[in-house]
Amino acid sequence: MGKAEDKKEKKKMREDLLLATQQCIACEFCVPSCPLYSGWLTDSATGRMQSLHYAIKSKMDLDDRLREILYSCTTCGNCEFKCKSFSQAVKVTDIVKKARRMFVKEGKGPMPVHKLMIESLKAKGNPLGEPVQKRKGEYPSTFKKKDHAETLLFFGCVTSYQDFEIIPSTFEILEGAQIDFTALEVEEYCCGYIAHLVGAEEDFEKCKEMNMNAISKIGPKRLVTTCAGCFRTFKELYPEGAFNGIPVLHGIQYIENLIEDGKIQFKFLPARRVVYHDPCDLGRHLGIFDPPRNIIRQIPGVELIEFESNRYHADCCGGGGGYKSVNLEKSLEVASKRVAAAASAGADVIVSACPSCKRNLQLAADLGQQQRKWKIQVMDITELVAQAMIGA
Amino acid sequence: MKKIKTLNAARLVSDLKGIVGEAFVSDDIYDRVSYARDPMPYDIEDKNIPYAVVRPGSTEEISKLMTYLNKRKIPVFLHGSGTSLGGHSRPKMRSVVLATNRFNQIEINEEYMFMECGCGTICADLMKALDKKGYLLPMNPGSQIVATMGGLIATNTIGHMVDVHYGRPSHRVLGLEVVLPTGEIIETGTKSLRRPSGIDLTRFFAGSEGLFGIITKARMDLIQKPFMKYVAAFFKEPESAAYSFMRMYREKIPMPLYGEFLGANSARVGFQTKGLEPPEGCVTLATSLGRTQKEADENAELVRSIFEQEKAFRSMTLGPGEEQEKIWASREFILHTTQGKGNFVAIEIVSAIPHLAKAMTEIHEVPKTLKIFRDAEIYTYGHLGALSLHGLFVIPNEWSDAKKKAAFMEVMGVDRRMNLKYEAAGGEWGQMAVRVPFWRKKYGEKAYGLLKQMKAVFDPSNILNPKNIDGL
Repeated sequence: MGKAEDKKEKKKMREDLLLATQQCIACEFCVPSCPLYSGWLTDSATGRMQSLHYAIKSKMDLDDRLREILYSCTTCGNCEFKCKSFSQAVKVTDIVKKARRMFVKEGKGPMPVHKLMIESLKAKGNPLGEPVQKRKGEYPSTFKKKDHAETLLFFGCVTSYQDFEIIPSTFEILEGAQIDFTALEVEEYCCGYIAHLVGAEEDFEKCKEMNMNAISKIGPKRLVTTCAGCFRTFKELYPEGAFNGIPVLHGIQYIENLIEDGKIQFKFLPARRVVYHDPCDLGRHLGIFDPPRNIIRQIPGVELIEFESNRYHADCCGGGGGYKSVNLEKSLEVASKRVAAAASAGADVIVSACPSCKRNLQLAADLGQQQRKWKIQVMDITELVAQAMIGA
Repeated sequence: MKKIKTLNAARLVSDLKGIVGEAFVSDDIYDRVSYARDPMPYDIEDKNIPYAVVRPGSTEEISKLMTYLNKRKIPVFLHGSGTSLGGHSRPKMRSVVLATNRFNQIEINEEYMFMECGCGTICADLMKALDKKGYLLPMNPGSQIVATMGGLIATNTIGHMVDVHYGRPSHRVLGLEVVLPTGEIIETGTKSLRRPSGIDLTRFFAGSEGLFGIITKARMDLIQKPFMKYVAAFFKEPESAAYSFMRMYREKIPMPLYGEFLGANSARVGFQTKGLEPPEGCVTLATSLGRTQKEADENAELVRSIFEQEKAFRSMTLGPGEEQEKIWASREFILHTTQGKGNFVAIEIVSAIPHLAKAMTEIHEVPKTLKIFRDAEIYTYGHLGALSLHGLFVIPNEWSDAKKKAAFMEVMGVDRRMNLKYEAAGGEWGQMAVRVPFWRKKYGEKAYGLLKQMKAVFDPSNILNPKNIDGL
């Protein structure tokens, strides 16, 4: 891109954001819904919109403080829902992501920690600094990658590198249901969601290309991912009909189908009260609420209960939007509130369908347990399903 | 008020931090701008961006802050949640913004039968806490999810409720804790459910719009939650909806707690937003009360019969459930009328009972009388049971700030004219800031002079929400 063109694009970005931020009327209706709200308005969607609006309108140089304000957002979208309830929703998460792209474009972003993640993404195909080979670390030793299969599993980086249960559980479910499946193993590449979230759009494009090639090579009939972030990325950010037009399903949708087809049967589990945590990417952003609940309800011995704030109103786990890497302490504080809400609802187990939510809630649950605040288990839905297929 | 010639902002911030602690003072530009904005449809001017935002955590801290600021004659603007549509919370000069959100304590005392709350308590949080124990908060503003009790009491507003049921905060507040602009702390009222007769300073502050003092804590009596039944009716002509409520008053029908109105445009948008078939014509929604469910049901039938007699082409009573919630929620989606095109300005007019139908006709004809909004679409809605009507215009994002401000003022001119004509004075958004010209016209210069003298008695240095008494 030439210098003049680059300048023009930067100007256009600012103009678009100026117009978009005007849509926020500073009514503050969204403020209590922000998981990061600390009592200061700049820790809420209203403050983010007003700060950005003022900086652009005043033709200010992008500074570190504004960057901090805009990168301190989990992009959970709860604010949009509250705004939507009373006004024409301000697309806060879109504006935040566009603003982050502006920061990157103007050479002022992303946050230093995100830069490291992007470097790792480029070098190792994952943002976590982990070696490529470790991606298959949790795969069963008996697993042999097939060249072709009807169902292709995509686990994503958090599951592959930071979780011990989701991969083996998913394999157990599909083997139990006698499904012809395979997974990409070390050829899986980050879906690119983190790059998109922090404004590194060029790096996101590379991820997209890598995965589209790898998945097309297998030529499956369906792509199934157990990660809410990867799922949303494939559904919303990859081109329509990517992967030769095959359906992309989240694990919960696929498992629900397998139950309906009679390929999965459940046995009794010891009595427990399970509360389902709606991941923002699946719930509020994509409107998928019922499949996980339908699955949990069918497991004998398990009682499904609800958080006081659930479905569209569900509170965020605090780990999204690239925020956890910016401020782990605050992120865990948010997760702790969610775990406390589960405990006060009387849950024995929190089940989610997103490895990032699981991980954040797990850390908070462990912390609370050490402090003797509560004793609560955190699981991914695949773990619960795999257990229920075997029985107590 | 004397203009401050020189002010060492760094010194000010340092002193403020000394009073409330470093974590609760900010001179960061983004914090200052965020607290300076409010829902007025044009941006804050640079010259009015505050020096600092301060978030005290106790009455004593507010007292120290006001003593300090009063001594130096530094203006203060209060910020509950900044939801005022009348321009109250927008700083109108360089100042300190004092945010009250740390005052969010709620105490429900069933022995004394009152509740106490901090001024920064969010209305919806209090409603929920009371509801859990079987009580009703006698106010219901559209901004309840974020509006603070301090702001609501200072504005003496009950939002959508019909006044004849529970009155206003000035009728319900038993006592207040107030910090005067000069820093002293006073308490008013009583802990008994029997309010004082005669002079009770409570009433000076409940409805003072933040001119006389900072309400830090309020005590209100507990109201047993009544039984409710919902009614919806559909009319071809909006005047028929108005006649219905006029008739309810005239025929001594037990007034519903809410008597909401959605003009045809507003109903279309609201119903569509909630996935309901858009109605033909306009809609009224009423909530009848009773001490028993049977009584509420009977009262709802009476209200429904009035709607039918006033030519409702369809009416129904609704129990609690999805349909009732959806229809009522369509009312809450009124701001969807902006359709993502911009901000809005709305008039808030009230009528004396005999003029209500006439006011209804006139509000629909307002666009013909305007210049900037000539023939623009007006979205009407309101609280007809409370004799209150709104007309909303969309202010496009693309307009300049100057044009937005001119458009806002043009609509406020209608607000002024119609409230005078229909022998009322608004009912929800307060009297000062944007309404000062109306107030002066309605009550005269002598009354306005007295008001200014009262302000000077409470606030001799004129530092608390100054200029709100002067108008925008």
